[in-house]
Amino acid sequence: MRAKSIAIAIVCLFIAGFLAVKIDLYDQIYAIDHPESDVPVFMRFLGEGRSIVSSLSILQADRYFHGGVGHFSDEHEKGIAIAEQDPKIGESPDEHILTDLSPFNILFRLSDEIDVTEHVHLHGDQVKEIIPWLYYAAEIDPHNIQAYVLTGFYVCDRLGKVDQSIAFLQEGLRRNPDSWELNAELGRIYFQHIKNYEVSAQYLSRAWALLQEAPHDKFQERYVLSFLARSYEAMGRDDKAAPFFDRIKELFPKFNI
Amino acid sequence: MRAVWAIACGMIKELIRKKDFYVLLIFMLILLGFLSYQNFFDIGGVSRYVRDLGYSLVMFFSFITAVTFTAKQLPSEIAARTIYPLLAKPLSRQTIIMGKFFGGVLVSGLSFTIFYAIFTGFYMTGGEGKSLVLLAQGYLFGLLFLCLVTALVMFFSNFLTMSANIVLSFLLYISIGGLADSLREIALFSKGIISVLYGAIYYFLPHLEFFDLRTRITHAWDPLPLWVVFSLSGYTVIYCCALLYLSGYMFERKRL
Repeated sequence: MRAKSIAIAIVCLFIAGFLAVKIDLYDQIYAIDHPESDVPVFMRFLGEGRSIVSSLSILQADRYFHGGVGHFSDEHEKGIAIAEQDPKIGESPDEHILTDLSPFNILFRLSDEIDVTEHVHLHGDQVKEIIPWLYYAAEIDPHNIQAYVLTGFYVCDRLGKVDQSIAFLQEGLRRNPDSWELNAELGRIYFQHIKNYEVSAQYLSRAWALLQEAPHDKFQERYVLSFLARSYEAMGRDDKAAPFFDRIKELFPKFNI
Repeated sequence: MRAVWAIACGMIKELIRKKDFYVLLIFMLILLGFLSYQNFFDIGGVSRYVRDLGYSLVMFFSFITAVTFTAKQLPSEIAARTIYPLLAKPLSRQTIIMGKFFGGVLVSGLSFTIFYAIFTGFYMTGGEGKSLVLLAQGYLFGLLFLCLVTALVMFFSNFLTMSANIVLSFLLYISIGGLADSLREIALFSKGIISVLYGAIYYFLPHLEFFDLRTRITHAWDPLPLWVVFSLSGYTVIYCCALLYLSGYMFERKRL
C-alpha cells in the first residue's frame, strides 16, 4: 500500500514537472511573439494593479529626489529646472504655521520636530539614489513610458552611463514599439552624446511620424523637430532640415532658432 | 517582581521554541542580501533604497512579533484554562498583566535587537552619511515603539478575540500616520469646537508614527534634538502606564 502511494506521488511529480517545462516553453515563445506582454513572472500576479504600483514607484523616486520629503507641485512653479536649483531650497510652507503654536501643545510640536519638512534636491552623484525606483517602475509595468524616459535621462545625462541608457531605452522600445517618446529620447541621446546624426535622424523621424498620430502639444512637437532639424543640419542636409525649422517657426513665431 | 520575570521568561522560551521568528529572520536576510547585490546600470554605491526597505522590514517584522506574541497570551491562557493555576499561585491579575506586558516587550525587543543588528551591518557597509547617533536613536525609538504596541495589544486583548486584536493592531499600524496627519491639519486649520474636538482625538490616539525614523536614517538627515528623545520617551511611559492600568482594571473585573 505504502509503495503504491509513493509510486503515485512520483508519477504525479513527474507529470507536474513535464507540464511545467511545457508551460515555460509556451511562455517564452509567447513573450518573443508579444514583446509588449513580456513581464517577469513574479509581477504578473499584480494584474492591472501593476500600473498603479509602477506610478507609485515613480512618485517614490520623486520623493527620494527631495531627500525623502513629499512636496507640493507649486513649490516648483518658479520656472527653474529642477536640477539647476540650489540643493537646499527652504522650508515647507507648513513650518511657518507651526512656529505660531503654543509651547504647551507638545504633541503638535513633537510631530513637527520629528517630520522632515525641509525642501532639498539631490545633487551631483547623489541622483543615483533614485535609479532603483525608476528601474523597478519600468520593470513592474513595461508600458510605463515615463519610467523608461526618466531612467534614460538620469542614467545618461546625470550619471554619464550612455551605453546602459541606450540599451535600457531600446528594451523599452522593444516592449513599446509605437512610443514616440522613446524614439525621441533615443534620438536625442544619439544626437547629444554619441553625435551619430544619422541614427538620431532615424529615431527622430520615427518619433515625428508617431507623434502626428498621437495627441500632443506644440512643445512636444518642437522638442522632436528641433533635434530632428539639427540632426539633418549636422549631416549637411540643410534641404531636409529647412521644413522642420519652418514648422518650429510656425509653432513659435518668437522662438529664436 | 519575581513573578513578572517568571511570566516574561516563559514567553522568551516560546519565542525560541516557535518557528515564526526564524522564518522572519531568514526572510529578512534573503531580501536584504538580494537588494544590496542588485546592480543598476553599473552604478556603484546605491544604498538609500536598501536602508529604506531594510529599516521598514525591521520595524514591520518586530511589530508582527510583538502583536502575534502578545495578542495570544490572555485569550490562550483563558481558553486552555491555564490561567487558574497562575491565579492560584497566588498572583494578582495586575501582576499577570505586567508579566505578559514585560514578556511581550522582551520577546519583541529581543527580535528587534537581532533584526536591527543585521540592518546595522548593511547600513555600515554601504552609502554616505552614516550617523551612529541617528542609528542609536533609531534603536531607542524602535524599543519605545514596541513598548507602546505591546501595551496597546495587551489592552485590546481584554475585550477582543486574538484575531480581532491582530487585525485592529495592523489597521492602526497602517493607518495611524495618515489619520494623525489629517487630524492635525484639521485641528490646526479650523476654529472653535471642531479644532478642540480634532485636537482632543489627536492627543488621544497612540502616535505610532512618531517612532518612525525611516526618512532620517535613509536620507541621512540630522539626528533629533535631545528634548524630542526625552519627550517621546516620557510620552511612551505615560501612555503605557495608562494602558496597563486600564488593562489591569478591566482584567480584574473580568469573569473567568
